[in-house]
Amino acid sequence: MTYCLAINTNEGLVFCSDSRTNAGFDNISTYTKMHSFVWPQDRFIVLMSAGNLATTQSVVKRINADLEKSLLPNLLSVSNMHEAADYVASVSTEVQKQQSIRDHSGSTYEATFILGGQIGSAAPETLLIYAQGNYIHESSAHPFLQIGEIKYGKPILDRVIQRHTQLEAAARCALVSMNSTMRSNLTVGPPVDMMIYEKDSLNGGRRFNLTEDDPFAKNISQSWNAGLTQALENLPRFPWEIEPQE
Amino acid sequence: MTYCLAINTDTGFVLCSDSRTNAGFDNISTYSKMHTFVWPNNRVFALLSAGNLATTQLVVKRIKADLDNNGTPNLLSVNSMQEAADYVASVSMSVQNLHVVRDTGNTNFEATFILAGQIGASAHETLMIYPQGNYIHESDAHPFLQIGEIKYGKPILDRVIKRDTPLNPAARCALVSMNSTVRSNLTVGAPIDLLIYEKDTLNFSRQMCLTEEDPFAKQLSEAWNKGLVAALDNLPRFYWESSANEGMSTEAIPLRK
Repeated sequence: MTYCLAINTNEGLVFCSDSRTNAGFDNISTYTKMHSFVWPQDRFIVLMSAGNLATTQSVVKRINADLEKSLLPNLLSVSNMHEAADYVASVSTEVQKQQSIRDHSGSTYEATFILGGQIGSAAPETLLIYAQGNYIHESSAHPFLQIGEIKYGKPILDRVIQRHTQLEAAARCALVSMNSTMRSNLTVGPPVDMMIYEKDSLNGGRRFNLTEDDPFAKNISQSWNAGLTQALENLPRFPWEIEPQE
Repeated sequence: MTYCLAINTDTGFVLCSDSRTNAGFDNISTYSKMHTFVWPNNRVFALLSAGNLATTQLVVKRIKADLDNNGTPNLLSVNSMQEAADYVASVSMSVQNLHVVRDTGNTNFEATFILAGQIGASAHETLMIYPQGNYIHESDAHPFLQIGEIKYGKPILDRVIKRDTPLNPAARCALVSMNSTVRSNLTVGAPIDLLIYEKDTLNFSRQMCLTEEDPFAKQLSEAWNKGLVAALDNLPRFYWESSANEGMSTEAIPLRK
């Protein structure tokens, strides 16, 4: 499995993805699931993927090939994020169809994507592209999208993330959401890719990669553990615990 | 769906369950999923259930009927928690088989249980009974069991629960694990049943049912929210923030109501 999430705030976008892939329990590998396409001062696009690895790799290859050969449409020709999502969705469903035609055993070739970015002066957007090729944007009440193993890391996002959450605070929240998921599910694993994009900057964003031994990642993990322990200690006591002091 | 969990520590066990049941999205009801069987100073059992409601209700009814009719084995005749689990598993299997035989569609009648208890002087135990009738106990490294919608509430248990966690803190941890699940998944809902059993007492004296409006449940939820926000706020800053924001107090993440 996989865990990827995108947060869309008033200040910009946060992307976070794990790197574990597996074909069965005894065949585990590491691949980045975050792909960025940047034309400075013009457009900034990030694609994160979950699902069949052969499908997602083919989709990224085709997107790159379309750009190299200037085949239309491509990520540079689309004029807004919805056109970009339409384009990625059509590439994804084509790849899936091609694989299914070859298959004779009913395998699943499905893949799900999160596409986020900004084109020119239009607002930054994040979109979740389903395996079926249709897509949705994030909700205003809970401005984040998740794909893959979404449940472990959802409660903290549900509690905290809002449109006006500060960008770096949202990024820290994404990291602890990822951290909790990695601890509780072996099919989600490091290194963790993170991209923080400040609205209207139209540059490459701040991208970094956190391995298991990265000191910052360790700091975050330890500090979050300590904070949760503290939060538990600060919870109100049961009635029978406080009676003796009365 | 459902969320039930059991924590088994050195000093006793904690059980927690939600009360939402649904037959489709437009047919939501409230049923307690925690059933207790107590013979003071002799033995105590609690059964938590997830899965097909008709199956779990019938299993509980048969357990009671076996006691009323002195049909053996029953919960009073078994000599160990393993025998008790075997017995509940066989009741569950016979109920499921009965429903499957009658069924003309391809309906799922499966149910999963957590059985917790203590018999006489033997150790208190928690066991999870699968729909297939086999069962497992909790692990030493992570001494808890979960059934139903287990993923949302698992990270906090993974981080905190150990054999030597005292009972009251373990119970608070169970409540916040439940609270996170209720917030993130509509198929898990209040009221919340909580049972805290101190080993060797051979009685269930600490049981609470927390409705949504219960002041303690509200306080707990608010305190947990605040604590999480503080924990997030205390996380180390990114390298580019620390230089720019030196000497400035960083803005707290606003609390979501």
